[in-house]
Amino acid sequence: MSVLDEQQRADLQSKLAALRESYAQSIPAKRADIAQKWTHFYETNDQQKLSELIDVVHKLAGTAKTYGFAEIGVLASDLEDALLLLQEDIGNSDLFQQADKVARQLNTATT
Amino acid sequence: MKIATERQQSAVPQPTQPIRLLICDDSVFMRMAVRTLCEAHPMIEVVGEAEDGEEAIESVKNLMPDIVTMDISMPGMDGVSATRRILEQHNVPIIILSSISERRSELAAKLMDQGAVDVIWKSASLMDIDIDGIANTILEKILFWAKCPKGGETSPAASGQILSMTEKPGSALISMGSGCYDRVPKFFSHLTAESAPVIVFPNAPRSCKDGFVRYLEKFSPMPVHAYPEGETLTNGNVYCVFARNGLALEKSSDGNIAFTPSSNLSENVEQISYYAKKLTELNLHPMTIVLSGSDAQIAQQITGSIDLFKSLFIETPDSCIDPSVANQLSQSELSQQQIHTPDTLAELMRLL
Repeated sequence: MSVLDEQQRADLQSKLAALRESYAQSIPAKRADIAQKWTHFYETNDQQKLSELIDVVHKLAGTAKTYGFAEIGVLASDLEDALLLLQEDIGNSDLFQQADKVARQLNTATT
Repeated sequence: MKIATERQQSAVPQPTQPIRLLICDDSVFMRMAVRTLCEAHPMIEVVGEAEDGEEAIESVKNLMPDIVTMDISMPGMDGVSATRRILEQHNVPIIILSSISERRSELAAKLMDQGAVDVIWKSASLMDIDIDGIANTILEKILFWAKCPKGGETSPAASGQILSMTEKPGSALISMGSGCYDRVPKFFSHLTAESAPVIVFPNAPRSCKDGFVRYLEKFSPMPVHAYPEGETLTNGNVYCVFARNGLALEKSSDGNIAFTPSSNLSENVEQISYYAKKLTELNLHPMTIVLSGSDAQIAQQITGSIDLFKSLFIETPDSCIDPSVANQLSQSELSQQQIHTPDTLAELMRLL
């Protein structure tokens, strides 16, 4: 049973659609930030930067799914999982390559 | 910290005033999504937003919300530390918002152990054509778990009937739902192994059932049976009877009384009336307590078969977050002696 009546649901859908449009416009900057952080980590192995990257990717995973960008949300979740594994075994080149692959997919996924 | 200013809280809170929600999330888009969703419901007022754990602590202290939604992963002090710190100092329900991942699931479970009441997974889209999916779940959880803005603050009602109760009840029937967040610790922490069996009728939406049972288990020193099919009714145990579960109470040849599936019970069985009648027949005369958020059918059942409810206690309507049932009962021909504050009612549990 819905806790909102028909009019409330219609209003809500309209407002959420407007929010989604704003969110869509913010996605390129979020992906650029992730790509920049990943490149930095790739080149420096700076673990502090890896933690920051994981937090940013985690945030994208949650918000993208909430706003209906399923592909980006799923890829961000995959990248988060890959980065968490890498964080536990920082010298593992296979995990490194796996994370790099997902990072590239995320960067080119359609919105 | 962003504080809503357009709606001021009245000096004397009214029972129908909106639930005051604080949103804690470092993502501005997530805060906007939750705010937009919650503001669609007339009984929820977003009173503030916090961007990290420190702000959340400060906001809870300053705004005294009725409920908090808390993101786990935030910069600075995260949701884990903030939840722990808030619950050390404030009696406020906190619902965790989390993206699904194994690590976050573990954190969410840890936060539930620390006192958070429920979790909302940020895995589903609010943009689905079926807005009744995740959006409904979020609203249901906020409406169910919010504490009553003035629970326990009302002046004591007549307690003559309570004082005159000298006999230990043979059992207890408790109807409860929205607004019962802070009743659970008060009511169930008194139970002992010798307490008469307690049957709870939770008026909880499907999305809140697991959280409700977990919360009950946390505060009840005695075993909680969430789905008691086949269980024997025994002292020192708590049984949840959700709507339409079709469980009858039957006495077996060995003298035990057990919850038994029964095709004789229709889907719309008048559950509380049935249990009151059955327990009386079994010489386990029940004490019945009706709390905030009770199922609307409860009032009809009680007033329709009042002779079954010899020991009936009803929460004062103005201390209920959802006063409809308490109002209906208090406006019926029932004696005003049956209306009591939550604190007075909690004392009844010692009689068990």
